Amino acid sequence: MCRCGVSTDQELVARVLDGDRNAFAQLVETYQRPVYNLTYRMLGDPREAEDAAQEAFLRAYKHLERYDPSRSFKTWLLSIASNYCIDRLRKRRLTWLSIDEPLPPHPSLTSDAPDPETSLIDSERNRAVQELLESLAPDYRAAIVLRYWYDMSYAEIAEMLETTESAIKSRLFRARQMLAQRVRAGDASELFMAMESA
Amino acid sequence: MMAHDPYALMISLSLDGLLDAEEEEDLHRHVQNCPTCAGVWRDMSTLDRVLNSSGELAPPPNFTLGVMARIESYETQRRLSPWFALFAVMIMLSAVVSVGAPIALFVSGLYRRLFELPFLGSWLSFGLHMVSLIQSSIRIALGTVIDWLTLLTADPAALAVVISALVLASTWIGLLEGMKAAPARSRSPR
Repeated sequence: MCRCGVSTDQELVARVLDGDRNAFAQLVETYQRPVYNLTYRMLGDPREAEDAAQEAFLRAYKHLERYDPSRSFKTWLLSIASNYCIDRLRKRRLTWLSIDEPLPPHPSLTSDAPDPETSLIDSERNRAVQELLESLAPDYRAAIVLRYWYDMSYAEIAEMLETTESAIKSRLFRARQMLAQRVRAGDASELFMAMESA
Repeated sequence: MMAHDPYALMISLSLDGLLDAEEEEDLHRHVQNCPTCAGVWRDMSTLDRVLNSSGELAPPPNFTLGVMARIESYETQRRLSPWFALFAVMIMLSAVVSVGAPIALFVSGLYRRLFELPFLGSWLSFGLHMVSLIQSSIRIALGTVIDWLTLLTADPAALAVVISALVLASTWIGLLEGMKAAPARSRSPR
């Protein structure tokens, strides 16, 4: 137990390995938001993101004995989620999903907020961000999401995506270059509007 | 464009805070004098600000319950899978025994001992006798049919006789049926 009386991730993992499933529920409660955000940013569809996030937790549960307690549980979990999403996006390409038909926005991006004006700006910005992300290849998208939403270093991203730091450096550069080209071409005009309004 | 690529890469690294002071100074000097790289810098910086300001999205309610339901289902499958495996092994074993045991008994000659047993032996003998009776009946029937077919195909005259007999028989049957129907028609009121 830590000083605040809350079990650490490693303690919870040990309890799960001893057969305590409630300990895993605690881990899910703690990390559901980052895992879901990652799967949504990667897949762009709320239902698919929920399914992928749940699958990531299930895979973590199945392979919990492979978890190295000296590493961060969150990083390990996000690694599982990001690699699963990359595989899923590659398979999705084979199913001829039309990129001309945009996926439905996340409910929280369209829901009513206390301040409708702020909500609208946030919603527009998030939609533009999601459209930009969806223009990237799965590997590039994962690098951008992990860099910006999880503030991970090149080394951490490389470890999570099972590649080298120089590959991540290249992916982030190429991804930014592609996104910048789209912004310049006017594909993200809402993005600029939102930025100017903010 | 190629001449700008190293600086575009440096812009990307600069946004991640991975350039040292000297490299930063070199990049800023270049960007001030190069409109192309200044444009890249502006676009990438805008992107950087927007992406950095995008928050985390919350999962739907009952997300944890959904995960735990999947785990429960997985655990149930895992608990049952040894029993399914055992069941499959039993099925395979019984199939092997039901096919292999009679063959083994026959090949080894042990089946003769079975006939010497007091009660089972007499039932086996009776069963075997019935099987051989049915077998010989089928053989005789098939042999007769085959003999007939052979005769008909070998001798055109025999085939003509059979066809003529069939035609005559069908004509005769037709006439009989017609005669039966005629009185009925004559009795019916007009």
